[in-house]
Amino acid sequence: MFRPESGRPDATLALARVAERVRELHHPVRTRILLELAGDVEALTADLQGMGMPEHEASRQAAERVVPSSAALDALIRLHLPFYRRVSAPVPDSTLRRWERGTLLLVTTLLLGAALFFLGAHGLLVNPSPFLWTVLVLSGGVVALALATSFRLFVLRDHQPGTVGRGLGALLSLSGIAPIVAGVGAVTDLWGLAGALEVAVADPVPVLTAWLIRESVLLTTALLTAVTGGLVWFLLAREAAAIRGGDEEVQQTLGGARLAGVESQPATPALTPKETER
Amino acid sequence: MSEDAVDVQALARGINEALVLASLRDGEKHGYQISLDVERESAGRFVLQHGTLYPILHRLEKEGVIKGRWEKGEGRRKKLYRLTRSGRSRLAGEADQLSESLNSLLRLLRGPDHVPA
Repeated sequence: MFRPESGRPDATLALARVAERVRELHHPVRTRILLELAGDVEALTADLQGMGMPEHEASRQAAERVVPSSAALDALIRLHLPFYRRVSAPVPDSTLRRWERGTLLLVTTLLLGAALFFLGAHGLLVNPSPFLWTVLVLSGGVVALALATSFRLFVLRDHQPGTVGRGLGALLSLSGIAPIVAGVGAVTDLWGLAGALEVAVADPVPVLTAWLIRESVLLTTALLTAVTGGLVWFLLAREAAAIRGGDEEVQQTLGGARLAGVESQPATPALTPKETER
Repeated sequence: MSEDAVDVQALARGINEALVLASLRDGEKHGYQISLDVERESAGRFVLQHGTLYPILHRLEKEGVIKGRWEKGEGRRKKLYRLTRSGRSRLAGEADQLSESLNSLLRLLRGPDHVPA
């Protein structure tokens, strides 16, 4: 049976090279490709050994037959490349990043503008709590991070654990800070209200009503930010965990072959005339 | 250009696809089994080396012509492919089309004076 860790480097290294190349594909496609190839290499190796071939030769022949050459891998990657990557391929990377950042800023501004318009149209910004602006800035941050991380995971299919992890961490932090700021704001505003009422207001009802509206807007905005941010974080974290699981499965499949070290290995075998697939 | 004009690359791709589909006619198979069967049944004339099979399999699966499923056996998971109903009709169509294209090619290669043996 094919066991990458048991001293048969041909197939393992060939699969590790494939693993490096398919990193640009999204989860779970890249995992499935590698597992399919590894499964076929293993089965074919076993078949060839069953026919009396020595283990090392069986592994070498299985890898030669199953592991795609550079051209076949190109065709496989092209087939599975995410739509956005395919259509944006002719645009230079730096231009594309600028457009993406611009679009992210525009969408975040539009969403925040819509939220402010809604609050203003309902007269909820007449006498707002000063803490509301901080909460709105945090909401903007949550929206921007949620959009950026979703875009990275689902559109770009970029699964670098460091980048995604930082985005998710920041999203959860901002979502958690919003209700804390609102809580501090509510207590501070309550303190202010108590001070105002102490100064013998003739009719305290309008003052109390204004305070209630102000605080409910502050707390509702903060809670909505926290709940939405938390929900988005949960969904994205689940996707990121699935990606990590897939990557770990691939690492197990490849055994001792460290992906990072594979780049220094010789290139995949040259094409043969029989490779007509493009 | 005639509507029936044949692109040589498309012809080669068509042959590869037809070989894969024909191999799956007998039932579910792993990728490597398809590759071995094609070679054996064609007496070594057609060989799908260096993983050329996988882009074909994945494209056919995307088109719904074949369907893959994962099998959990003794070792690691393995993927099995089977022909779908549309795959069977595609195979019939491909066979007709290939026969026509190859006949045209043979006529061209042998010239007008060729007398069949």
